[in-house]
Amino acid sequence: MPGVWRAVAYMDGVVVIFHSPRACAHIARTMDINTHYRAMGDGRKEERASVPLLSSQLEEKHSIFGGIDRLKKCIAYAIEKYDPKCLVLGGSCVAGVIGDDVEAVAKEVEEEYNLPVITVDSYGFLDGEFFEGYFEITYKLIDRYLYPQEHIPKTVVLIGDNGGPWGHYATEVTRILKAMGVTVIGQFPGYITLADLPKITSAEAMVVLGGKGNTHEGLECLTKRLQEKFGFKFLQDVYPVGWERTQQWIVEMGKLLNCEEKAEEVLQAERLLMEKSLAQFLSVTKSKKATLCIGRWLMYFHPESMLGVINALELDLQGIVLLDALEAGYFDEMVGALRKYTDVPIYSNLDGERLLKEADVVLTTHELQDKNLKQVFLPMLPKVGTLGEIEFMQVIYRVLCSKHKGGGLVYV
Amino acid sequence: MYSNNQWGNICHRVDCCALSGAAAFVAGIPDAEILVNGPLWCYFYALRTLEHAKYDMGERFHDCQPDNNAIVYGTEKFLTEALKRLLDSGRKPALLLVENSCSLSLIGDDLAGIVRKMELPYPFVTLDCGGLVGGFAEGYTKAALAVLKKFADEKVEPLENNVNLLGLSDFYYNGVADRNEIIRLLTKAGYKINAVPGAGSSLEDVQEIARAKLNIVCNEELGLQLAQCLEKRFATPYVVVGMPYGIEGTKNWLTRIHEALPCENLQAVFDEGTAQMERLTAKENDYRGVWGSLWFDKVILSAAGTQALCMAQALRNEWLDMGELTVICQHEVKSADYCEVADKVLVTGKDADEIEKLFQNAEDVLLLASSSETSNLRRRGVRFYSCNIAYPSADEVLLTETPFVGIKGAAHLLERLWNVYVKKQMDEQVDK
Repeated sequence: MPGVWRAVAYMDGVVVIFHSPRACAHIARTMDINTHYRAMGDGRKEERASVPLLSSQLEEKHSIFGGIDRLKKCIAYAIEKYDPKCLVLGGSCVAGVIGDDVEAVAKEVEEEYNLPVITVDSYGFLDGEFFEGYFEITYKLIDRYLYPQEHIPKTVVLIGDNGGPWGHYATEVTRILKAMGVTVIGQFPGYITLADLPKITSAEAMVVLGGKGNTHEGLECLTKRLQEKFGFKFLQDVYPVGWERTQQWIVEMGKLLNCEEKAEEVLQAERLLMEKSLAQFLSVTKSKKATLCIGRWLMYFHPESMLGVINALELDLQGIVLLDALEAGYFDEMVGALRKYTDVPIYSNLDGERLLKEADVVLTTHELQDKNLKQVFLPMLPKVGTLGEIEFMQVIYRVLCSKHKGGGLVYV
Repeated sequence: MYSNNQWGNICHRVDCCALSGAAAFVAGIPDAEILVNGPLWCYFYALRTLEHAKYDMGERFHDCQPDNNAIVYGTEKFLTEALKRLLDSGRKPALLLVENSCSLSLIGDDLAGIVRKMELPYPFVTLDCGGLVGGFAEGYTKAALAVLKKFADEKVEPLENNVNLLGLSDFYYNGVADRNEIIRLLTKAGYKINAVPGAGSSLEDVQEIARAKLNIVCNEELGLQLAQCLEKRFATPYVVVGMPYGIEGTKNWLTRIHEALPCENLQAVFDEGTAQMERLTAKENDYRGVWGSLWFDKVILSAAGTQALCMAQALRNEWLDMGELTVICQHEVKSADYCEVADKVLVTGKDADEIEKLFQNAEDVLLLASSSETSNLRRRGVRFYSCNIAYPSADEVLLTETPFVGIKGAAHLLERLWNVYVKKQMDEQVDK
């Protein structure tokens, strides 16, 4: 359900209703508050507020008598109060268990009020996770609101979420694309007004805010669908995650959008920026002892870019510890991936304890219990582009600058 | 059971689900643990809610991780495996709460039977407790009633000066510090604290809850039903007194308790309050010389029902002057007259439209609330001043364990209000 909400969360004109107990809507609201303050903490300003979110507020009695009447009353209230241009309905696990047919209500309301109503054929955790709801709503928005039109050269639409237009991913690719003379006309789904939504098919290309993991696989399917329907250009399997990949991404974007010379200029400027930052960091980071702890599956972890940062900062990587969280089958897979890039010793959780105590900095995918370790938490969604890489390096640099005796965890 | 007259945008309410509330009551018992029989999504959400107040909750809060087929085939397999894991880990909780999320409470599994079959070497209690039950307060209450029903000892006799404190939670913002200050004041006054269920008392203390001569209900939304149940079962009288904000507020609060069960050293607490009042007045006079008197044209105060009303009373009667005071109660509380100084009292759910309008028009206000309300105003891009008094709190750091309530709390909150006011005055200078 929160995935359903997230797919339209900042699309002015939409109102979202969860057919659920009230608390389920509070989960989405909690995500919303966290997003707001994370953006602020990152020094970024949200460009728009989230759309109204209501809950049909199912109670115990509805598990016996059904909650459809309550849902209809809630819909009537939402239509009268917010005058939405589109209503999105999400079904909770409770609605699924008691057998309320949310799709049937959607059809009825659509006819009665002559208002687009989009819903999903899933009920909370009974039918999948966050991204099932997110992508189903996205496909339904495509089918209902988008149509082919002439493409405007040097314009792109961003595809995916990653914290929205004010999130790190979107701001960084927008910065680089702007330097290449390319205009971002919007971000889909979730971050464009309903009125402006049809305009996105006028873009020449899509820029997928991708990387790794389930989300990324979903985004790849979505991108292919958009390309088939609207003839967008897009880069497949090249994302600005890590410095090497960022440079490759700039070159490839130049080719894709017929601005290779401009891309080359941008590339040189980005390299200068990176060199300047590295010169500052290396004075502190060079030869410092580092240990890398990995407890995340390979599908969510980028060994290549991680080891790239360690090399660029000239850290003395003493070894890699594979944490217990990495279950047996995934252990060998990770060892194989790491061995492509490094021959440092790889330890299991227990054997690597000594290394951790000796490290000046521990780069880790999971918080470690030892409060004396200086830990840098490696996020599931790494920061991207030149500035993302520099910010990551800066975090390691600052940890190594610290004279504090105790340890602690620092987030990137 | 909660019921709402209006729907309203959820962005203007602050609550979490009964799953968290029930877990919060049990987590308030030292070394007690919780096992959630529900989706990981609900588990993590509740865990994140609880971790704000207790950083070690991850070690005490577990999940069965049932898959979606469990809705059809039942959860016994997942529950049994989770309980086995808990047994194998060697952990020995003082009490284990096993709670069903809302969807799993509907499938008819015999939760208590499944847990009983495991012959756990420690006490346990089972509950259906998800969003269908309600929010934090409903879950807290349901767990409290279940624990007392199962464990309260019938055979004990009340002891002189013994009191129970009902309706306190370590998982309210600054809850631990507030609980400690209340216990300090009552002990100084001559009472003996028998039990504070759900906020620091061991299961053994909770078992002897009937040893109290009086039950003191602080946060009504959490403790009233418990007090009514104990009166019925053990004939223990109760008094609903709310939370003691401000020095006069604390004196009045203590006087009401004294009227229900006289104490020996009431004057000692009053003397401490008077001394604190004199100290604060002298200090404030000093600051007034530079900044003038504390004044805000409009104040919005939003928090859990009892806290909101009791704090509003002290705010206007003791701490600052204002043009208009609007109080938003996140729960309806009505058994006591906590506040007669608010210009308007709104209740979430009941007054959803009016609350939405209030935030749409708010500007240059003092907001005593949580980061949920501050995020609404920030997104509107208007100027306001804030001081967090409730969870979630993302835009303010609170590291010290100084209470909001009682005599110590009066100085703490007054200090925070002064700092907000000084910032306001300085911001206005920058604008000129």
